[in-house]
Amino acid sequence: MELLKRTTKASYKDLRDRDLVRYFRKKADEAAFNELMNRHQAKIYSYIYSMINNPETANDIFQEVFTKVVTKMDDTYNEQGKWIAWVMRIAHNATIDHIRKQKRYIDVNSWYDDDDSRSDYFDRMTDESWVDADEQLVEGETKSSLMAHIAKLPEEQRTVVLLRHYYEMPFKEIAELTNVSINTALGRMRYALINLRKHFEEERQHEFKHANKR
Amino acid sequence: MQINDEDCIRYLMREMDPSEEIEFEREMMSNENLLIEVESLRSTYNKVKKLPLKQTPAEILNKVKEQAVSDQQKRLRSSFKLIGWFGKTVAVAATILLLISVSVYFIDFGTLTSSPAQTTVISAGTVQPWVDRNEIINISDRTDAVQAQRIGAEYEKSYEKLIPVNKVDEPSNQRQGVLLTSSPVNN
Repeated sequence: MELLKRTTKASYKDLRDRDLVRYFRKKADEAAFNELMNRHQAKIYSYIYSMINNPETANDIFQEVFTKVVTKMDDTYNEQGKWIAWVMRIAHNATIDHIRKQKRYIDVNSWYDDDDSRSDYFDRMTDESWVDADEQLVEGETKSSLMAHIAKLPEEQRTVVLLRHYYEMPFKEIAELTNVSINTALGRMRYALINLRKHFEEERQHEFKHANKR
Repeated sequence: MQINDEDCIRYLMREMDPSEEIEFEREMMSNENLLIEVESLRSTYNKVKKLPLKQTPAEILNKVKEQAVSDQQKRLRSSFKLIGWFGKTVAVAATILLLISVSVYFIDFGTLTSSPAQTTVISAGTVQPWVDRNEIINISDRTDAVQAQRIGAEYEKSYEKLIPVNKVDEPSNQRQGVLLTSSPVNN
């Protein structure tokens, strides 16, 4: 029995997304859905989290996305296409909808001024490459400032950077998803990198001034 | 090669064709500003690549998994019910349709077989005879051979009812109005 379980588990890992989705649709196969989630949850969650910058809201949107995924799977998902690209489209739309609804009431960047919230984010971050505590601290600070700089980017530029980073999405698909031309999507990426370069430079000068004061 | 701002990004993100890449690299070798621009963008992009992957909190992940499986099971159950109901409806409708078709067939068949004489009379009534230059009634080319023969026989029979007038000088009130107009039949 144990052997059978192990074989089944192994075979699910070998299956393509398309087959796992088919098992889930036809039989509500829990193991197939778990495998899909294991493969993609971190990327989807990271994207939502990086766009929203609020853990509770990111959790709510993540759940909302998967409720939509299950509801719409029979009607709008075409098995010829990539499942993850389809889910990503739902995640992107849900995130953008939320940002637009909240835009009047919440300053999306304010979260990064709060040190407690920042530590909460890195408490849950898993990265096995971190070896000792000092390195971990330096690495943590670097990643923290990187997240802060990305959060400062305009929404359109941030979207392109995160879609490219977490999904390795081709610019043609990014353009389709965000309803712009490929050149506009490429231009947004270029401006995002230029803005980030500016932020990194400002940060470096700030650190340099602090070091001289000491 | 004409270089656009977007080409630097296409080159960095490896979205150029191999031939375009070679052209772009050649251009970079001859244009120092372009080289600096590309290397600066590359350096910033390498920092972006360090963005961490964020794991979904376990409780949220479990909740999503349970909810998804339970929702899908419900959907499947309801679709099976719908298919069952639809199947039963189709079966009942098909049976009713079949019964109606069979009854209509038997009713029609019974009508056709019960009154052949009436049918022939009706069909004979529709034949339009015509009279040729010799004043002979023709019907053979207006209907089929069998019916033409039967109608011909009826005409023949009708001649037998005619009584020849032997005494022309004795007028009879009864026969005064009778005038035989057809030509003599060739025997």
